[in-house]
Amino acid sequence: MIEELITQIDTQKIKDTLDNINIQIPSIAGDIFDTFASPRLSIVQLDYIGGEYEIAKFYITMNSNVEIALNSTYEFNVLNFCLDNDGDTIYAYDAQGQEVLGYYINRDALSGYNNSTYMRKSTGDIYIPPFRAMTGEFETIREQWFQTEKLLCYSEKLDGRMCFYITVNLELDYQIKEDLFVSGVE
Amino acid sequence: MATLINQANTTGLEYDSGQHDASSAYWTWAFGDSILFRAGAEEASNMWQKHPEANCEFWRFSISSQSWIKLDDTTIGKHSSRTYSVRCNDTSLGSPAVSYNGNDSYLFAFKVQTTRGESFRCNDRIRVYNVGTSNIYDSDVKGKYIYGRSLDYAYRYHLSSSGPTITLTDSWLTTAGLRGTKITTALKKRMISVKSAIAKT
Repeated sequence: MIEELITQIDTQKIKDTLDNINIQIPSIAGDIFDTFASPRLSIVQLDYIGGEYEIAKFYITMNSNVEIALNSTYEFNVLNFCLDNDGDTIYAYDAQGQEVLGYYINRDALSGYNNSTYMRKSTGDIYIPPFRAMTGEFETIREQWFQTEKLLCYSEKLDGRMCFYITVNLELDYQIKEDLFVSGVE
Repeated sequence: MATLINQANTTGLEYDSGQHDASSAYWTWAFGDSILFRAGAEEASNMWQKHPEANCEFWRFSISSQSWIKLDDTTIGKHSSRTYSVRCNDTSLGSPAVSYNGNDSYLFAFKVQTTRGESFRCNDRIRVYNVGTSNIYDSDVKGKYIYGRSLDYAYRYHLSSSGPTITLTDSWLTTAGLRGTKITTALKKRMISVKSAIAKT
């Protein structure tokens, strides 16, 4: 499953987008934008409609605190980041340095077979750990992805979409440009 | 006290597992005069995951008491590592946190079990040195009739997920095959266990 999924990803389009955007560093970010690892496509979001799916988001890890999300057409969607002193919150900002939404995250839920919520988006969407079974037509899909050990979590969105978040960890072999992130927002 | 083997020159390297994640079978076993082992934990692969933690253990099988003795049991986290050594001055995998330099054990067990976060972000590596390069081999056992093991390997990397309750009569440990055989350099890999005294009956 994961191999089939990866063949559908155009990594050159990801690089092209990263080559052509400038993202304002949010004023609350501190020093988390000072150093970057080699960018890596860490997660893709799959939206299921019936038995079919489409790749809805690409999440590119820049370092352990910073991530860029692209939409299904490889355009910039949002800048995600977390602060070392505020580990339960993930912020989502636009390219102009303005907050657009946020997440409350309980990472311990991923390693405990209990009923705690993994994550809640400020829009109200809830994210469920991969091992927790669901009811309905998507349980088979959840089970299949869970067996691959690549399923990070899943979410039935308030707008009706069923989304699965798949860990792909694909190295992009790409050097980011110097002005991908720019300062200046107060 | 056994003579420490300076393996800064690695020509005596018998086996190097390389660094691999310890996601499934996380117990590793080795016979040896001279051994290095390193456990490591990286950071989470993405911000949505917990940073990894791993439980590391280091055991030796005591000849005198015929029992397993735990030498270390600790937890490592993000961007940290822990190195164990057995009668070895080589620090190529890092300065050892715990060393065993006695001569009551030649069989050792190492564990790196992920206890939090993504298991593939924890890793380990073992280096087992060739007994043929050690003074112990020359002075104690070369050319003598001893109890050698039946198989040609002295290490089992990521053998299992349970331990150290390994069955000492497992085929790779038993001495039956070469019991009473004259050991030569060609059999040095089997000799590594000669002093383990596990089954000298």
